[in-house]
Amino acid sequence: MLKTTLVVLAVVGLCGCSTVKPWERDLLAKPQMALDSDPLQTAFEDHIYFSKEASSGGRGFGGGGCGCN
Amino acid sequence: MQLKNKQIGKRLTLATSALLGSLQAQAADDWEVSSALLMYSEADDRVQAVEPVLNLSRQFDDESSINVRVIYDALTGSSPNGAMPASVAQTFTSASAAARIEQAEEDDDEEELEKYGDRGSYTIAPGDLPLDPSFEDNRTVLSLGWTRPLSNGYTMNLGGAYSSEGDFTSFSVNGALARDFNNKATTVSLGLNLEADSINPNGGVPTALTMYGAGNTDGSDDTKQVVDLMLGVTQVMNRRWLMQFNLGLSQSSGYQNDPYKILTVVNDGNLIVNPDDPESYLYLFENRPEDRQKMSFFWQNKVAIGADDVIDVGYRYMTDDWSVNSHTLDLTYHWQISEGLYLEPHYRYYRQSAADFYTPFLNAGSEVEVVGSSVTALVDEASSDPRLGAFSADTMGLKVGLALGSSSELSLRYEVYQQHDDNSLKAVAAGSHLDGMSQFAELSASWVQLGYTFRW
Repeated sequence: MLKTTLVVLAVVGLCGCSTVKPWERDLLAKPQMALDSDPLQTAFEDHIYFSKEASSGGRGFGGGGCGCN
Repeated sequence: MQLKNKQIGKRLTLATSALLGSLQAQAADDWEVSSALLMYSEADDRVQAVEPVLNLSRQFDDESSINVRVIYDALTGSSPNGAMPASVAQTFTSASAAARIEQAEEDDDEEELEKYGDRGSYTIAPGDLPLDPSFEDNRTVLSLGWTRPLSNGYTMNLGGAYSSEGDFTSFSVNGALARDFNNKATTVSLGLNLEADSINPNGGVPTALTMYGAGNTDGSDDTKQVVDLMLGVTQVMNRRWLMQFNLGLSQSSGYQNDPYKILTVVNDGNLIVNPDDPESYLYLFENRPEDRQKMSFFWQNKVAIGADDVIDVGYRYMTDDWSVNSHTLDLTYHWQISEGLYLEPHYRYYRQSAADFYTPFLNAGSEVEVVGSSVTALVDEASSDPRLGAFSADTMGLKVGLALGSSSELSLRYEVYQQHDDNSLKAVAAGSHLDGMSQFAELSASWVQLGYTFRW
């Protein structure tokens, strides 16, 4: 697990020298390219899955604030 | 050009700092209002929920932004009480309904009495899943967030949330710091969330692993504290590919039980008459460890296809010290049909292993000692909560988005969720009350989400 993490971090680090220039970011700047393109939808999903499954979090902090355990 | 680049840079910073809040790109000094309504429904008259959300966000000239969100959640319906279906009828006395009735009688609240008067106890027909029909709650959540760029490529985010429902209150504060590198192609962030919960179950906190109906309680309320730490890296891979990687650690301490969940106790697969109450059978309140440590690994990719389409692929691995390991795969395709219309088909696959103390029921003799009217659990922890069992689940859905002018959007989404039992069967004596009964209640649910966003 930790190993995987380090490997991915290393890969990300190596790719860090991205050659994408600011004026080439037209596609990346589109709203549908946002990592969380619909935050309210994400909040609904987090709440649903938090209350029906044993896992939570990942994208953000593990959904608390709910007595649904 | 310079101005445009600045705008794009700003938008990208916002887009890539998902951990630091989720503001969409927006013009400065404009309020962006997002509202959504969720209508959630489980099959077999289980939980039904209606959840409206209002989100206000505003970006200022100095590129700082604030976010305010209010959520209301109204829940009704039936929830599994944790007992096994059996070949005989079972009668339960709902502690939560009984507590509500008692309170209503004290307050002379006729409306509440009418609602709960006949729910103090309920009988489940042979072969049916025991569902507690008194499940009802309202939840209100208020959350605030403030994001501010600092010097040297750093961005700071501070936030807090308050959530309240009938038997549960939660407070949390969070902070995160992010830094951009490589001309904003890389963003590294570190976030911390502290949460304090207070649980005050209807009817008091039941003493763990004691007889249901005996009324043993450990006071009226208990607490839980959660600390979350998250390290995130966002990377622009190329002109079309954006990647995010998060590592999350979570430590939860305190009351982790579901105070309304019980377990059936059987003798060779047959229900045991409650030594204190010949009208009912023997059930014990569940118990979970007081600590839980979780670790999650999340990897997301957004890939632009053509001019406007986007593939979103996410994977999460989670593991905890309760022996729950889970894999989640999430796929969405953003299909831009025309400038003002898009479709998003969605598929999610989820699979989890069971917590090591998960068991559909308890056996007298090996797990519970029953001698006359003395009942003693021989296990330290046990829960039959299906959320802690082994299962896989599929979610399929479709979203339609429609732009209304240049600054507002309407969307509609429909999703269907189905769980599949992956637990191995716990042995049951042939011909006994539990013989042939389902040991895991697979959940089927669907929901509709309506969203409307506008700038103002």
